[in-house]
Amino acid sequence: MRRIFLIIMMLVTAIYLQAQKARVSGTVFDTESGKAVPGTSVHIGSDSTLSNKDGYFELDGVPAGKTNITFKTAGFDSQTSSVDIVAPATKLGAFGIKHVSVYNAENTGISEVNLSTLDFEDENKGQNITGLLHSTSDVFVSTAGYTLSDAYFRIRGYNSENSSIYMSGIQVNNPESGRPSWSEWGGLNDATRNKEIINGLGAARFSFGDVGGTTNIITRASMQRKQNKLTYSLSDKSYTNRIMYTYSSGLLKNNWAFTLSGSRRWGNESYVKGVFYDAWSYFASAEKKLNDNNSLSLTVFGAPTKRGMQAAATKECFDLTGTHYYNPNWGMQDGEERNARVKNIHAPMAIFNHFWKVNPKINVTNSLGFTYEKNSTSALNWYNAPDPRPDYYRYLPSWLTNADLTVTPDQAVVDALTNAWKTDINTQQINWDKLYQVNYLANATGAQANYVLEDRHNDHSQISLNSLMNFQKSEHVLITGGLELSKYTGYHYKTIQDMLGGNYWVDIDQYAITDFPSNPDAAQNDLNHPNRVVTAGKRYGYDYNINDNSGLLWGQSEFSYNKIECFAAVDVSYTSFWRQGNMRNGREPLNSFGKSASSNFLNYGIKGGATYKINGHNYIIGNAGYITRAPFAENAFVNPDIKNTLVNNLTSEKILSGDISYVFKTPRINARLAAYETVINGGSRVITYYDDNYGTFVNTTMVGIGTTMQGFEFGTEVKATSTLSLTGVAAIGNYRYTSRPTATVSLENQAQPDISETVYEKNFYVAGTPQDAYSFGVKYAHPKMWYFNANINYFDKMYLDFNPERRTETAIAGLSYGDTLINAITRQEKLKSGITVDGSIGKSFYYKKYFFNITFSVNNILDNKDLITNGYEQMRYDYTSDNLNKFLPKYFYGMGRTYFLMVSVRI
Amino acid sequence: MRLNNFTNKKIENKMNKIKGIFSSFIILTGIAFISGCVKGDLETPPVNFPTVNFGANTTITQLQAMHTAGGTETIATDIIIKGKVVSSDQSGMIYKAIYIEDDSAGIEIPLDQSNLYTTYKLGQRVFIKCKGLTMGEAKGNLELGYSTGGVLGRIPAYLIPQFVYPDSLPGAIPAPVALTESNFANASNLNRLVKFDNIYFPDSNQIFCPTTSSYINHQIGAIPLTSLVLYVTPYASYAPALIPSGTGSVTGIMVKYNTVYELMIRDLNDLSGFNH
Repeated sequence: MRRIFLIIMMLVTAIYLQAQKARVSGTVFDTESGKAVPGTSVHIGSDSTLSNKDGYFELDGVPAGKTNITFKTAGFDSQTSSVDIVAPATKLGAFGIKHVSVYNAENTGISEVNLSTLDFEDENKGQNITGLLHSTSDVFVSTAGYTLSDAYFRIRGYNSENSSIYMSGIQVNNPESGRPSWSEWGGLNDATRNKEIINGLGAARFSFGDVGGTTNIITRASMQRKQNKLTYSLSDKSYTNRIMYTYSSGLLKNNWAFTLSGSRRWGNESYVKGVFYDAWSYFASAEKKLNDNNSLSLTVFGAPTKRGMQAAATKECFDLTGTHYYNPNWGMQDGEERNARVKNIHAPMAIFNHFWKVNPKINVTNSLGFTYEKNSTSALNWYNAPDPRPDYYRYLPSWLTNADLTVTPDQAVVDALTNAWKTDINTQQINWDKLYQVNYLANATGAQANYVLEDRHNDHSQISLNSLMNFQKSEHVLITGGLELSKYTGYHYKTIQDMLGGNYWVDIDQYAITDFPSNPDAAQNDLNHPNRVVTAGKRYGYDYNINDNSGLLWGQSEFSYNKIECFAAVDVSYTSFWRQGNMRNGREPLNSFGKSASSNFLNYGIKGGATYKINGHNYIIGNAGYITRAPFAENAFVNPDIKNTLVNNLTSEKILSGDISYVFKTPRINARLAAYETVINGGSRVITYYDDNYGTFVNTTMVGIGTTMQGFEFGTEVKATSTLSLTGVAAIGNYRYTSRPTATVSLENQAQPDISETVYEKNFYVAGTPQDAYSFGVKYAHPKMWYFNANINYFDKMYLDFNPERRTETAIAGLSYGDTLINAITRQEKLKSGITVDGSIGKSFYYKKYFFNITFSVNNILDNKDLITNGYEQMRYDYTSDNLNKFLPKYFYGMGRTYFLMVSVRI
Repeated sequence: MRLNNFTNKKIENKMNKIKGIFSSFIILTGIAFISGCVKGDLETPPVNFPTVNFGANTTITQLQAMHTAGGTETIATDIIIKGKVVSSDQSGMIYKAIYIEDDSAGIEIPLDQSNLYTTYKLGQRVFIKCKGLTMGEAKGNLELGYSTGGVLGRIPAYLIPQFVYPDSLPGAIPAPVALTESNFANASNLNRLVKFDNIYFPDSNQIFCPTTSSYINHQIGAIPLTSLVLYVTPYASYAPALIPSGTGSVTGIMVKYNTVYELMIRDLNDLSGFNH
């Protein structure tokens, strides 16, 4: 969008030199209804404004001459017309703009991010992010954001921490992880539709930006399209029903503007067993225009969401249960399904803005944001009791034939278990009733519960201040700059959600009892309250805060001339974080309670770019930047659950990125070809898991991770006829690890000293996205407002996330040179490529004053259920026997055929 | 004036409209609420009071009588024994086995599952359907296990419910068989709860078992180590504790390891009357 905007501006700058100024006015209306369209952004050259409630707009100081005027607003096609500006004033008359004529995922509300219910160890990995943001008029970006997102395609291989998301000027990326939490505004599609999207390193006018792009979701009520809209959707993906209502008043005569929106999404196990969805959302925004130069806005929103999660599983489980959607997270309790892994999120946020036009050349926006997020995921916990998870590796038939066992059992024994796995629900799934009975028996002997259901909380509060200034220094120069301050506290603790029939729980660590037999204190999770008895609702296990304060100052200059537009931007930031322990852990009594040392980082970034117009149809665009970034707190502590220890040799990440694009534009053909490369060095990562071999928790910290993302992207849209257009998109990527990081393995029971090892992962592939993706589409739009489209997609070069410890000298110790096992241990699994076909059909029509829109779409029409979209090797690995079959990788499969039906009515 | 009124009225209309929209918003929310209750509170399952509808037809002594020393016997008839659980693997000393006894004798039943104490509490009456199980000696100790691959071993975890049937809630634990230093070496005392009174440990004030050893045999009273030992592994939660001094009573499960009798205490409550 940014690029296209630049291009439009370039067209305009062609006549800059004859710089006589004019006052330009006009109106904009809906060609279907004939009504005025307020809130349309009107662009002439580098000037832009919004239409008022009567659709009227006015722009001052527009250079005289032939130029283009562009109208953009949600729900309508962007439209450009040629106009002749004559000084001193030009009345342009009325412009009609058309509703999105072609099926467009974003505008129909389908592109809603389906909060993925995939349950990862690294819990934010399961976010399917692209759908929400990247819907722009660039065909590559919009196809990648919608059509390709079912396969978890990530543009240029970037993780979400590489994109900045702002909500009305306030950054919403979590400072601890760098990742934005989409759940915060899930279900508010209408209210969050207005966005400024900057792809990649392009120039943003609200932030310095990030290497993977920058988005500002505009919540101002006066900018929302005036509407009264009710939407109902029916689907079999992650929820069954969605009802959504949005009202926007537009700017009223009394200079107030209001937007209200709310939604409910609910349904049980639409596609995957045991997964349910139970979400609400609310949004209220009020804006008061004090005078021509000052407006105040207050926005409050939130989305209480509860989701049952799906866990990855091994191929053996899929084979036994006969489905690729086997979900070990649930089981039967009293004849009802119950999921042990339920995510529960509510993050109310309030944002206050002051928009101030200081003078015709200077705009200042001050924003204050506050959020308090409650975020928990439930999980089973057990004490001196059999593992309650049905897919625990020793419960599977493969365990019986495992080489570790001294006795090979009779086939009949293996068959009996195999048969139980195929037919018995209590073998396949969690046997909740059994857990209750065990606890009842424990009650009978006065003992503590053996099983409880706990909630792992990751709450946070944050207050943010953002001050932004835009200064139109001259016709050719726009200077933007800002200051962003944030004070953040993350609260991490566990509570017991459900005693599962047990009477009480003692807050000690069962592993530590065996790990530190001669030190009874070690088992205490809180030495300040030893042997504390806890029941439902009480905190236990761990309890600590992560404080993260940061400040960022940035500035940017944009220059626009006849043949060339360019910009340069710079930022400086300071980040300081520390841990505050609220419990004195028995394993680290002197290093867990109270404040840790604080880690402080000073960072900077520079970037720049240029657009060169060869002629009216051909453009070259290039961007480059070098950014350093403080490590995220979640990668900075060795094991924050128990201690204050920081990862050794923690450094800022260094990001070097550049891209170059060629754009071809004619009335019939739009095409863009880009080449890019991004090098990220100095990354760090912390992995914690329970290891059977050591019988203890293991913390692996990795520093010095280097990645390179390079590739080509191509997108084209060809209008074959006035109603039919063809799209083609190709992404050819090469995302690799490029360094040999140092991994430090420390056992929590300190049974052996910490070992630092080199991880031989150079040239390994970055997992979690297809590196190659292609899509070919047909769009048909009948003038009578019905439309049809279809896409065929091909995904390739998907790789399994790997266990770094399997790529160390230790992992292959004892194997002689040339042993084929070495290759088996260290190679990275390439996942199968796959094809999917999507289609949708829709119709819009007026009935009296009601505007109806009906859309029906089917994803993965061919019902391809063999596409693995995500997966990982288990961190546990048997180094003694090098038995690769003991801890097999776990996978998630992409959904087969799903549908989405949506009906909306708007007044 | 008129114009002002008109504008005000217009604004009022607007506000009314907003109110209307507010109410419809609330109504819609209400509808969604009512129509969309996804999950109510789950009921808590009732206490399962296990009962069996069959009885025992053989005593443990009778079962043991079918065994020929050194051989293995896979039971082919519908033999059912009953007994009460006297062992607990909670401390980690006993591992993947339960010991049950009736009035006549005791027997070890190896089960391929850890943390058995969560289901088989002390004093739990169980019935064992022996058909399909195999009796034999493991290092000299008679057990009722499962033969697979031609080897006698533990009953696979998922087969346990086919053989072992808990009956009612745990009750009183059978009184231990009182033994003396001079009179313990009798097969009928094996795999049972036994008790020695007025006993002392020559190894007092040593730890039961350091993590560096795979096991330690401690002398009991004056009984030679070749005859009876207190057997402790580092997996026992009490392994790092000190062996008490003075004289007291020791209770435990007595088993045989080849020719030596071994006493395993379940936890430190099995020691009483000592100095500490």
